[in-house]
Amino acid sequence: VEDRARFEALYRAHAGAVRTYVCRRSNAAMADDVVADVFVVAWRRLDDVPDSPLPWLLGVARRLLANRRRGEARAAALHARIAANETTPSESSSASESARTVLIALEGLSERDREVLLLIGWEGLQPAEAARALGLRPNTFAARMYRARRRFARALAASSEHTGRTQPSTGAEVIR
Amino acid sequence: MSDTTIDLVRQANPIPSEMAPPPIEEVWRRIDQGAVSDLRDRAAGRSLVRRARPGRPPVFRGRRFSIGGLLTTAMSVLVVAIAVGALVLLGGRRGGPPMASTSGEFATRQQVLQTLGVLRAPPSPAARRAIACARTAPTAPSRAFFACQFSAVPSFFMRPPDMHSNPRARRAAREMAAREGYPRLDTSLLRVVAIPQFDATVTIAPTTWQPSPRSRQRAEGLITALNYSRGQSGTGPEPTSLATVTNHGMWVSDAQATPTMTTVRGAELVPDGVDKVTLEPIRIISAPAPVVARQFGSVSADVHDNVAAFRFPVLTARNSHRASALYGVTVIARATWFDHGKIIKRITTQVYLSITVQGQGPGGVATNP
Repeated sequence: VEDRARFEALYRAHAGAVRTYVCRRSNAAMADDVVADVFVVAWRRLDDVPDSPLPWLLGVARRLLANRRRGEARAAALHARIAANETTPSESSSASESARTVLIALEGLSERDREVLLLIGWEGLQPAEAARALGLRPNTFAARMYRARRRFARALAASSEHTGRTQPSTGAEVIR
Repeated sequence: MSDTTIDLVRQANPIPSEMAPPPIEEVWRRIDQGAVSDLRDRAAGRSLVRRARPGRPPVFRGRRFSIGGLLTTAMSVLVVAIAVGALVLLGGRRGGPPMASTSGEFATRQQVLQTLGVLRAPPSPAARRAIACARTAPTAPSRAFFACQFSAVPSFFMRPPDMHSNPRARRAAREMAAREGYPRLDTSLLRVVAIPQFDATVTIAPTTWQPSPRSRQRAEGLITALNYSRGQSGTGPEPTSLATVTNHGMWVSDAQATPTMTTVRGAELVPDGVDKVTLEPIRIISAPAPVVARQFGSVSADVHDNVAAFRFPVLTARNSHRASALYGVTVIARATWFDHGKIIKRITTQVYLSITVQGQGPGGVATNP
C-alpha cells in the first residue's frame, strides 16, 4: 500500500513533465505510450528511484525513446516540428522565424550535443540534474556542454545563412 | 543557467509550458499485464553505468595508411575469418544446441514476467536486502559476507567458484560448475515472498543458466529457495524452466530434516491466475517402507504472490530390513489448480516429503533411501 501511494504521488508530480519531455522530442501520439512505459519501469524499480526523481525519469524516457527511434531517421521529430512551423504562416513573426533557425541548427547537431542543450534549455534542469539524466559525471557533462555550445554556434551561423536571415547572436557571442 | 545559447534554445521551445499528465489507469493496466520489455528495464540501470565511463575516441598517430599496416590488417582479418569458419564447422559437427540470441533471451525473460505477477511488483524490504547482497557478492571472511549468508539469496549464488579462498575448494567448485553449468542470477527480478504461518520466506530467483561463464548459450529459468530459521533449502543450481512452472508448478520443501520432525513444510510456485492449489499424494517413488501415498492426505492452500504454502505430516512405518531413520522421498501428487472456486487445471507434480522408518538400530536421518 505504501509503495502504491508513493508511486501515485510520483506519477502526479512528474508524469506531466515526462509527457512534455517526450512530446518535445516526438509526436504526441507516441507520448502517452512512452509515459506509461516510463512509469511501468519506475514501478518495478521503485527502489532505485532517487529522492529527486525527475532526472532519473527523464533518463528512462530518453532511453525508451532511443529504443523506439532505432532504425528511424534521426531527428525525424524535429523535421516534423520544422514542417509544422512552416505550415503556420500566420505566426511567421520574427520570433517564430528565429525559433525555426534555432531548430534547424539543433537538428544539425548530433543527438548527444542536442540533448545536452535541450535538457537545460527546454526541460529547465540544472547542470547537475541534467548530468544525472544522461548518466554522466558533472565534469563530463560540463565538458560536453562546452563542446555542444561551440558546435551549436557553428550550426546556428550556417542555419542563418541558409535561411537568409541575420541572426542576432552568432559566433563568439553564443559560444560564451 | 542563463546565457545567450540557452536563451536562444529556450525561445525555440515548441511546448513552453508543462502538459497535464495522462491518466494513470493505462500504467496500472500495463503493470497488471506485465507488458513491458526488459530491454527497457535494463536501460534504466545498466546503460547508466556504461555511460558513466564513456570510451575515448580512437586517436590516430603518425601516418594513417601504410603498406605494412594494410598487410597486417589483411592478415589479421584472414586469421579471424579462418578461426570463425573452423569454429562454425566444429560446432556444427558436434551438433550442439543452437545459440540463443540476445533478443530471444529477453523475450523469454518477458514471458517470465508475464507469467509471475510477483515479479512485476516492487521488491519487499527482504527482497531489497537480498538484491543488495546478490549485487555486491561480498567475499569471506567479512561482516558483509556473513550478514548476507542469512539473506534470502540462494546459497550457491553467495559463493561463486572464484570466491573460495581455499584452492582445493575453488577447484572443486569450478569442476562442479563445469559439470552442472553456471547459473546467472537476474538480480533486479529477485523477489522474496513471506509465509507467515511457517515463519519462513520463499525466494524466487529468475536465472539464466549457461555452460560456461563466457558462453552465449542461455537457458532461461527459475530457482526457488525456502528460507526458515533452521536454514535454507532450494531447487539447486540448475534453473527450472518456465514451462515446468506453467504446466506443473514448482515445489520447494524443507530439506533440513531432523529425526524428531513431525511435519514437512513446502511451497509451490504457480503461475498467475491460480488462487488455490490442492495437492493429493498418489505415489511414492522408491518408498523405504510399505506406506501408501494417500496416507499423507490431501492438503489445500491459498495462493499469495504466486506461492501456495503446504504442510504435510511425516509418516511412520516399520521395515526391519532398513536402518531406523527419517527418509526423504519423492512423491507424485495430483495437483488441482483453482481460480475463484473453479477448477482450471488437474495435473501431476513432484513433491518431496519424509517418512520415518522404524527398523534396525537407533533412529537417524537418511535423505536418500
